[in-house]
Amino acid sequence: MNRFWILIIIYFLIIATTLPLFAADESVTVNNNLTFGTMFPGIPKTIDKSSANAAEFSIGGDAGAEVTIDFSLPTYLSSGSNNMQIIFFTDGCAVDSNSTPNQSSPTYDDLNPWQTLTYDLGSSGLTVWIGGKAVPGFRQPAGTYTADIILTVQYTGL
Amino acid sequence: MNFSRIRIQFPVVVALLCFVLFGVGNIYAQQAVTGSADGVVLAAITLAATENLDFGDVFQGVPKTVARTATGTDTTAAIFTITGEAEAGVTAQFVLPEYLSSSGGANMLCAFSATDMAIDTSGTKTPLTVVAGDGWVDQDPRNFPAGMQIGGLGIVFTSVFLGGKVTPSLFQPAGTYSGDIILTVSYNGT
Repeated sequence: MNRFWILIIIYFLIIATTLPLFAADESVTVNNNLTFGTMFPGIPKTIDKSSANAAEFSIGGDAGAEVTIDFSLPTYLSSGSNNMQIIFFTDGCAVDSNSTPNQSSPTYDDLNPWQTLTYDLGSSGLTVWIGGKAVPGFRQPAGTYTADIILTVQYTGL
Repeated sequence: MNFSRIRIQFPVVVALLCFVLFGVGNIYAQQAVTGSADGVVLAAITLAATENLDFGDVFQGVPKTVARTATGTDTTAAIFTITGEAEAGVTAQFVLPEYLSSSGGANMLCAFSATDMAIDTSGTKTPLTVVAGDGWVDQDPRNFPAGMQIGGLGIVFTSVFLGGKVTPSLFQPAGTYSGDIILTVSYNGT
């Protein structure tokens, strides 16, 4: 029976030492969508990651905890059965860990949104921006085009 | 079976299960959110040759001019209609023929002066009635004016009127002559 209590104590010690890692779930919210506004057929339009029309996400959780950030990015915007190409550049993402995020001069700039990004959460989490380029064809049918941008965040345990 | 050994192992199993189910599970929990990319594509440009530049009958050795204002039954100015997004800026360019050709292979000189084009953005005018306030008049068809746009507020088309001149020679073979006038228009993003 003594061994039983020893094991129970060991278990709670393990829990206690790992508790900070999962004391609070990470959270992620959409602050802004990537908005291209009106576009003329045949004229590509680029929204920079530092633009007010760039997509902005906020990630919350335990300060100092490391997280991975993965984008699932579309290759087309759609309007019914019509598609329009969208391009995300390999330096089209930025991340800021400051409590007052600075979009024009972020902590981590020119990041590749096609790769997994790994950063520590700041005191106010992380703010993530991403821009892109839409390429309407010369005979692109008029309409409102849209596509999903999915951001997945996960603690690494570090 | 050793009963005391079972009583010792049981809490071990419970402890490990709790750790795996609650501890490890929470450490690797994922959060995902879906934003969007959105854009509105405006109307594409469509072009129509509403009226051909028609010189009618031409006599050998007698040059004939069709004014950009001509709307006669046998001589008419060309009318091109550009349709698209109201008030959108466009870039336009004519490719103009230097000769009209007959099916027999004869050529007849064709020319366009620096005042042979007019542009109506009011959506209401004809070659005969268009004035400067409706857009542009007396323009060089080789050089469209800066600020060229489609229509105006709530008007989704612009009309381009074009005149020209043919110069048949004294020995110009009789026949029907024609040549292509090509208009290219694209949005300029303004």
